[in-house]
Amino acid sequence: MRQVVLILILILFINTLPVHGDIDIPVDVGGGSSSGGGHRQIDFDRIFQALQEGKAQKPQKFEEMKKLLYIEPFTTKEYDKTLALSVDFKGNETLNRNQKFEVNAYLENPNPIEIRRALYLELDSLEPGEKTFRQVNTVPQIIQVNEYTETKDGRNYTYRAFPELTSFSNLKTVGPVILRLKATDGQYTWTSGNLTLNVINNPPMLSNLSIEATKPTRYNDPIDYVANLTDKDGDAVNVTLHVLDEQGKERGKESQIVLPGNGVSFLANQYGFFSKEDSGKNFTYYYSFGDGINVSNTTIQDGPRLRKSTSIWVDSPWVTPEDENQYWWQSYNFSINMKNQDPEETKVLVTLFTDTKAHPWKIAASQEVMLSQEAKSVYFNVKPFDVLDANQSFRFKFTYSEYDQHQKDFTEVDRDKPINAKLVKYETVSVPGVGNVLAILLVALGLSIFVERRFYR
Amino acid sequence: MNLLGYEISETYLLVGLVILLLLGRIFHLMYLRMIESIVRKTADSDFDFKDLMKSLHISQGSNFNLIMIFSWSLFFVAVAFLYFLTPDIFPQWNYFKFPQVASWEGGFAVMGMAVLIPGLFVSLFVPRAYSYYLIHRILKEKVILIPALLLASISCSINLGTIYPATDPFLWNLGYVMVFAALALMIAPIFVGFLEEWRK
Amino acid sequence: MRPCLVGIGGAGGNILKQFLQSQDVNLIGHQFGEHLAYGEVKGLWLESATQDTQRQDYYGSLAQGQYPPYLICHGNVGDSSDTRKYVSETYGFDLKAPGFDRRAEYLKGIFEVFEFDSKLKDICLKEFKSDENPLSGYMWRVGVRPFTIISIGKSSKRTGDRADSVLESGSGNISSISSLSRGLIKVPKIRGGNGSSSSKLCDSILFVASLGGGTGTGFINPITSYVRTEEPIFPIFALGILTEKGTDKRQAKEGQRDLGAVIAMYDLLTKKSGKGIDGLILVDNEILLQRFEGNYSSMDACIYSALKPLLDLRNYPGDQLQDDSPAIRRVFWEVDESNDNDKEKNGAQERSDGAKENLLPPILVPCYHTQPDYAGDEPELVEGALGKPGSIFPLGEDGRLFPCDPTKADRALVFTRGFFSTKGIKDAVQKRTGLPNNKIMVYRKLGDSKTEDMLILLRNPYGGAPGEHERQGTLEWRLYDIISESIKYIENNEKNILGFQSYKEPTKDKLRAYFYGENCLRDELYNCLDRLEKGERPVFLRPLSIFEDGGLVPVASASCKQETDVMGSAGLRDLVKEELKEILRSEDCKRRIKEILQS
Repeated sequence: MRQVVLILILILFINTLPVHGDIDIPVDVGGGSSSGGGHRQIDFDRIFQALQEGKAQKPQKFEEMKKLLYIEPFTTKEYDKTLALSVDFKGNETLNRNQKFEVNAYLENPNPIEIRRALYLELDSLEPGEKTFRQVNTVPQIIQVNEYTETKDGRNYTYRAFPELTSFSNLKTVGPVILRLKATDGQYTWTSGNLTLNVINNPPMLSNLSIEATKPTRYNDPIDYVANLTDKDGDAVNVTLHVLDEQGKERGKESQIVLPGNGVSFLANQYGFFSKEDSGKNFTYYYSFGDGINVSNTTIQDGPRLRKSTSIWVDSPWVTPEDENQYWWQSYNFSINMKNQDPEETKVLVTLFTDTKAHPWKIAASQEVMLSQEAKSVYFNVKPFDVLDANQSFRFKFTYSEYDQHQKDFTEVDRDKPINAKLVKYETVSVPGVGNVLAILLVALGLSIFVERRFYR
Repeated sequence: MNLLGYEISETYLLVGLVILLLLGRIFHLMYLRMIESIVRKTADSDFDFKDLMKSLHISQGSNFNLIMIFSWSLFFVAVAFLYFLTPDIFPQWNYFKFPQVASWEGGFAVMGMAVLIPGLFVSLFVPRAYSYYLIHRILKEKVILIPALLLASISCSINLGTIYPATDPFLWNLGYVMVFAALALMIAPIFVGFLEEWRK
Repeated sequence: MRPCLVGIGGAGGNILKQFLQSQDVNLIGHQFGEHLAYGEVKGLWLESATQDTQRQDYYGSLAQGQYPPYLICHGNVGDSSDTRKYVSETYGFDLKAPGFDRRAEYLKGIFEVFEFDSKLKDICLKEFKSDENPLSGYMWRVGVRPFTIISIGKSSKRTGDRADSVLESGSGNISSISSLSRGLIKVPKIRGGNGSSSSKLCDSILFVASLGGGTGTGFINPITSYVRTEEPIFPIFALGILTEKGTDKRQAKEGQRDLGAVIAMYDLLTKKSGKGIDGLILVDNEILLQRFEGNYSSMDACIYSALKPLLDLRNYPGDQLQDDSPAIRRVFWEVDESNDNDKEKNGAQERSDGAKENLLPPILVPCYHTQPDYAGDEPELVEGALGKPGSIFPLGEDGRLFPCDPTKADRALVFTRGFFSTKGIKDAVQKRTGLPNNKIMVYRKLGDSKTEDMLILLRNPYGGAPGEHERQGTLEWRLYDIISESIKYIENNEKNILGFQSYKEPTKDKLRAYFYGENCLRDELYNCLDRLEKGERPVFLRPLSIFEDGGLVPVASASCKQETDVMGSAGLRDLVKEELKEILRSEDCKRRIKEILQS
């Protein structure tokens, strides 16, 4: 803006200077008046008059105009090489790798805009264990000549932020980190003072170690190694489970990256820690874990203790309702053939469940049976349903405490014929049927007698 | 219901019952007005309608009152059982929506009581209408049939409830016919009184 | 009105049965509430013959709380009662005798001895804790009073409650109090001072009895007299059914029954106001017999139908109380203002010295007619009830239930059921009877839908003209007939009358004097015939008793002058008779008669 004004003034000035050869150029207008109507020259008197009038009538505007027109008389100045450059850090100077911060550059350029030069700015950091600074921003930031803000006392300053560095999450070690700025205009180079940050690390903690499994535990039961992980820094932790055999020898390990706050969970079945040969054996385990800076081990924990497994054989799950009507109130005889595949006798807990829409997987009955190598039928004669199950199809399943020949501990069956929709289990001509009618009659009669005596006499 | 070869919806039949009830009410009001008109023509002085009602009042006897109160109470039970016991007619509003109650041994009685108690409030007032009629002896003796008809209808409905989801249209029709006949008998004194006055 | 109907004797019981027909539904003998009869009347059958009560199953024992009830008149008298023994030994009367063989004088005597025998009163006091007539007292206190509004406030809480429980126990057939109704919630009714329900009790008594029968004829008067000792103004009416002609089923001859009827009527109609009944409604069974050809059930039903307009409670609006019993009673006794020249005495008894005494109960003749509601209007009904003008014979062709000339009535009480105007009724009745409007009382009830009917009670439709006793169809004619028959019976049956074996000699003497002595019944009946011949009224004037002043004193008489006067005409008659007898017995007379016949 100032440049434009200067140009206008220059034009004005140039037009006011006496010009050699400033002669009236008569313009042939057909009459040739000398009043000036045909002269193409700026009338300085008119301008002067306007200025005078302006000064008198609009003094404020006149002063403003003066400011605008005022040109500091200057001479060519020497380029000032001093440059104030410093690192502006927002955050804790002692911090962990995940804590966020802001790094800005602060510059003051004493040179006027006319002679300023563009500056190229870079941020350097010296990490723990390193010997040389590295440039953080791969592309230098450019500060243009006009990208300064002037203060009241005439200083020109500017800020630049460095979004490339907001935390030290990539650091593999902890220790002091030094930051500095470098600026250059192509001719001179300036370097700021160093800012030293202390990067620290809190080690992760593993607690509440346990094994979640049914007891007694079979080798192929869901065995879940669980623990709670905490890390104050919020670092992702690499947790490794080490499973040891009875001799203390490591027979397997698996690792997981776990974020703090999440639980640690290793499912033995998922990793295949145990097989049938492990039945009856006792195992131990421990964890090793680290956040990349600190690595720790837990103490050795007991578990799991695998019980000896028996393999049973099951066949022909069946249900026989009391009659073909299959009413909800009737008895149903559930049966299954079972035997022990091992030579000795074993006690097995067999549980019957029924499943309808109204009662999903409801336990119906349970019994312990002794199984030998001779197959036997296990019966459950029960009334498993209630009225809500009427007109619904149902399933049933037997669960047992040992694994069957399919390595499963249950057998499930879908019954294709639904439960009868009849709700009322008695006939009209029966004690309840007649009783209902009598009850209604007697109550009605009694109330009627009361009403008649009370209100009709 | 199949009547003379025509299928009639149960809902229309219910409407028929309601219409009969309304007719009874209308006849009763018209009867009173007719009497009032006749009495006014021959009265020596002016009188209030309330005085006329007081004058018209006649005791029908405790047995008769009891039977009519009993009958009106049972009438509502019978209609409720006929229409709202099984989901056959009103699938959304029926007793079988509460299967635990429906399957209970005393379930029907519970439903009966539930209808009986509000029905009794109606019975507090409706039988009073009979006290304004000189009911013929023969007609009075016939009212004993009403509870029997209603009881039979309720039994038919209960039977339908016990065999549900099976249905028996004959039973339902029978139950309806008995309810209708009972209602007709209950309305008969009013209707007869009205006809006799109207005949004049 | 809501009377307590007391049927006395066999006929009374049968007629009462009609009135007590249940208007309620018959639930095979069970009654949940009160027994409902037409007009909400209550009823009680009084009978002296226990065997008659056993031979039926309609009435139950009041003592056992059954309803409708019967009460044996002498039920409180034990077989070994001292009172009974004394009466039997002194007078030869058995207090526990049934109806008694149509002897009205027997039952009359039984009741009279309690009035006059002081020793008997002492025995009663000892035995029954009261010196009053135990039979009358028993029938009243135990039987009748509990059904009336008099029972409220009386120290008869037990009996009041018994009436309530009795009324709720049975229907037309006997049943005991049901345990079901007992066990049910008992809701308090509107109760009087001692707990009885005032709204349903009776405001009057209507005795129903045959005149000329047994129990009814004999008991009606003593009970009434007894009630009057306690309740001088409580309305009490009587409906007497005059026995038919001829010999009845029990082979009692007409003369004997007529005598019984006359004695009963005599005693009822000679009790002055406040001492006896307030009116005697007469029905002639002979008319009913001819109309219904001997069908007694139909005859009873006819009487019941005739009185229904009286009992109907459905008055026109605003007229609820117009025919309550006190109002009816007042109208029955209403007299015209008359001067000494007015021969219409309105039932006032007048002594021969010209002084007027108290009023005597009126005779009321019911005239009834019913027709379909479309058949006609008021004049049709009136004509149906009273007969065509100028036509009073033959009987049975109109609604008159006792022979009378409607134009002779001094009052007409008209009860209608139907929709009529008062003016229309009065005009029709006035036209037929000649009565002015102010002597015609109209009581309108709301009709039923099919028929309309009218009951006209003609008060004292007799007298005013001599010789009416000879005009068939008049009341005088009928009364003359039964009085004549009575006199004939008295004169020809002295041994029958006096020869009953149980009578003690003093009793026989008393009876002899009563029937044959001075100022006796026979003589008084002759006087009645005279009055009938002359067209005088009332017919029965002088009250007569068998016993008085200790029981063995001759019959009380009126003033000596009257006695002389009465003696005069009767004595003359006797003398003339004796003379004629003598003359006819003589040979000379026989010869003269023979000559006349041969010529």
